[in-house]
Amino acid sequence: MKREKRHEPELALHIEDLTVAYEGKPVLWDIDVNIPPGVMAAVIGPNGAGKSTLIKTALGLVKPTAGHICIHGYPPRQALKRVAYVPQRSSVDWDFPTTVVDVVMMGRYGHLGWFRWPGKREHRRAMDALSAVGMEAFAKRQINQLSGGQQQRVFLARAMVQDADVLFLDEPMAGVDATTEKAVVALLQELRDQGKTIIVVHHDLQTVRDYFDWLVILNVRVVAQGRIPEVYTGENLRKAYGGRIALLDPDSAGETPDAVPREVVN
Amino acid sequence: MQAFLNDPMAMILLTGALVATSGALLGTFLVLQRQSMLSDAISHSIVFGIVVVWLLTHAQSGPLQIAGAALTGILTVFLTEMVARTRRVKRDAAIGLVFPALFAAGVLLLNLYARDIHIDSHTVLLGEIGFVWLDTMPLAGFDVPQAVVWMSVATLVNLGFVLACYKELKLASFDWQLAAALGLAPALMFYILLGLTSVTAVAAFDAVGAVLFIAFVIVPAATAYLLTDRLSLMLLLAVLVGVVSTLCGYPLAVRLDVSIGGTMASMTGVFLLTAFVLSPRYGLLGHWRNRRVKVPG
Repeated sequence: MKREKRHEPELALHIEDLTVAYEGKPVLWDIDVNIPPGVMAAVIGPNGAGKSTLIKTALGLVKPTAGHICIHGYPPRQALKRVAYVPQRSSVDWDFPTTVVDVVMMGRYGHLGWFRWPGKREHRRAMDALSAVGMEAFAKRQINQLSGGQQQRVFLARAMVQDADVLFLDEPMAGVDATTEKAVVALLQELRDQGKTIIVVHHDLQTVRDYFDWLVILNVRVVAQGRIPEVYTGENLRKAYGGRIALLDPDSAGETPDAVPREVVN
Repeated sequence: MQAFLNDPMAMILLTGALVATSGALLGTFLVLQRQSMLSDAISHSIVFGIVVVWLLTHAQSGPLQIAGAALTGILTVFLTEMVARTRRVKRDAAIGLVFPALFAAGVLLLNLYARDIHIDSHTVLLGEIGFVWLDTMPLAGFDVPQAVVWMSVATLVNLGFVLACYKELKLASFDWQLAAALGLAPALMFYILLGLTSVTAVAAFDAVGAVLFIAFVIVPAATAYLLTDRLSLMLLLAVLVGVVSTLCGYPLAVRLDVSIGGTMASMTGVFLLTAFVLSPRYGLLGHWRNRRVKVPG
């Protein structure tokens, strides 16, 4: 097989001229995104902005209409072992007949390769990851006995055993308790400090500045991207959310609001 | 050995047990993927494949028929996905559109061109497991009933597939997106699963017919689902429920003088009902008991 030259290898995620359309309707329109390695990035934007689609395309789950994607310089199909994915919790059936530790071991399936059964080594890795997320006591539980926050920790443990350089998470804080949210954020920051790149679809504008150091604001097109201080501005947020954003601080008409913006639920 | 192979009762029970085993192995994953009704669709539309292959080659069974059935099964799924992808029709309705069309086409062709063939609408629906011992073929010096030969092959292939691709099937059933992201081809697994369902359906055709086959695919798996929360145990229990149903069904059918295949399938229903009521975990009894016990954690 011809080995192609790596394209933009110094970027964890490089997206160029990407358009994704479902039935002729563009969900992402001609976007360029560059995320350097070792950051914890939030992808924010209103409903229908294409946040989940962006992640799914980067993972090779959705075919782009145009443009290309590189993960550490490799196209998605060649970067399978470099990326881990935490889907929305609701995307799987929690009544599935399996245990917590089994679900975490699934993160090793890619490394195991075809036909090989997981064994002691995979089990040990899964148990280590479960202790890291504080869920080792639940290892033998049936997964339908978990709370939302516990489900999220299990998914995070599963992503950790994938040994990936880039982690994609789709709304990991949605519907989890405050303790879990703090634990998840601390774990993700720890992974970032180990040099991994964390890319999170996030919906809570209030916590963006506390949790993340990189930001991509999306609304079908890229509104802004870069380090939080330069990008997290009232102007950019208004551009993405339009009239649906209410800046609570009256002085926030300025360029860099200290106010807490909140997405108005319609 | 030949005496065993000539014994009608032994052959009927063996055929039934093989149909139950091969069906339950696939059914477990179909039930978990919420695709049970695709087995219904497939087992009907393969009638079309069987008739077309017969018209082209005059083969009533054997490898050509099996290949034809597998292709028709996959065609059914492919057409269903295509209709659903237009987003004008919901997926369940798409299944309901495709398989009656193929089934009707099959029955029509049967009526027009193939009146003499042994397939008639009664056999298509119910099969006749009571006569499987009559239709034999020579194999390794013995006269072996064809149904036993083909069902054994189907059972071994299904077992081999489930054992080799256990983790791939498990992941595709639990988390399709992760399976795809890891490069473990969930769509390929899905199509092989349905291809094997078609092959097994055509092999089981003579014995239990299209409709009763569905019972052996879905009901034992659904029963096992109520009894355990481990996938491996669910597979084992599904096979066990299917096999025990055939073993209890036969003497009951003889005593009541009714359809053997029908009674075997009805027994799977009896087991499902029993599990539904008595299962310690998910049955009514368990539900009633659990309500009074505080769930830990």
